[in-house]
Amino acid sequence: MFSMPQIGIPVLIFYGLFAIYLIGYTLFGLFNLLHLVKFGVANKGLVLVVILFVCGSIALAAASIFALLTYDVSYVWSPDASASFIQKNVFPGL
Amino acid sequence: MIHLSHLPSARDNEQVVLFLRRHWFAPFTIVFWFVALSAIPLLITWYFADRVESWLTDPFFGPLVVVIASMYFLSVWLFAFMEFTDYYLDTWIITNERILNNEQEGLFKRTESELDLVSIQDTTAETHGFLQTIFTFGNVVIQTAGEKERFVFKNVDNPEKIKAIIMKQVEDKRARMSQQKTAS
Repeated sequence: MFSMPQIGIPVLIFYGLFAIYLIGYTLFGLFNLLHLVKFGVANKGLVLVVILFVCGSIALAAASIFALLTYDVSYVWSPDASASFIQKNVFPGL
Repeated sequence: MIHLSHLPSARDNEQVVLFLRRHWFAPFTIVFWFVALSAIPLLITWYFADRVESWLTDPFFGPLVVVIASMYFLSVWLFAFMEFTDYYLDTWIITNERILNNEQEGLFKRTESELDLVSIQDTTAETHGFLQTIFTFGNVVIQTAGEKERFVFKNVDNPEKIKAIIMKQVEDKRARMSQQKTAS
C-alpha cells in the first residue's frame, strides 16, 4: 500500500530565503542609489527620488517582516499534516 | 554629482543654454507598468479573498504566500526604481561652447561624451510614429565632422525647437571665433 514519505520542511527555510533576497535587494538598491548620487544632476528632485525609494523600500520590507513575525517559525511541515488543507484549498474540485 | 553651475572641465564664459532629459512619456511608461504590475495581483487577491485568507491562516502556506508576495512587490519597486534611474541619468546639456552627452544603459554601462559646437556640421529633428507625433517628441541627430559621425538625443521633447537652438548656438560660436581671429 502507498504511504506518504516521512519528510518535514521547516518554515524557517522561507525566512532564510527571504533574508538572502533582502541582502540582494539592499545591495542592488544601494548600487542604484550610488549611481544616482554620483552621476545625477544636483537638485531637489534627486533628493526627493532618493527619499521616496528608501522610504518605500523600508515600508515594504517592514510590512513583510511584521507579517512574517505573526507565524510560528519553529513549525515543520509534513505532507500528512497539510493533507486536509491541500485537499480543501489547493485542489477543492477533487 | 553634476552641478549645472560647475560643469566638468568648464570653459571661460561657458553658460548652460539647455538641459534636456527624455520626454515625460518615458517616466509615464515606468509609472504605468509599476501601477499595472502592482494592481493586478492585488485585484486577484481581492477577487479570491476567501481563498487567500484561508491560505494565510495556514502555518506553512501562510509564510510561503507572504514571502512570495513580499519578494514580488519588492522586485517591482526595485525594477521601477532602476528604470527611473536609467531615465534620470540620461541627460544632454547644451552650452554656448559644447554639448555634453550622459547616457546610462542599465546599471553597468555608462557613456559620457562631449562635442564642441564648432565641429557640428548638421542637425536633424526626427519624429516617427503616432505617439511621437501626438506628444511632440522625437530624436535630434547631430552630424559632426569628427570621427564620431552621429550624436543622438533620444526621445526629447520638441525636437524641432532643440534643433533650432543648437544651430543658433553653432552660428553664434562661429561668429565669436571669426571675430576673435580678425581681432588678433
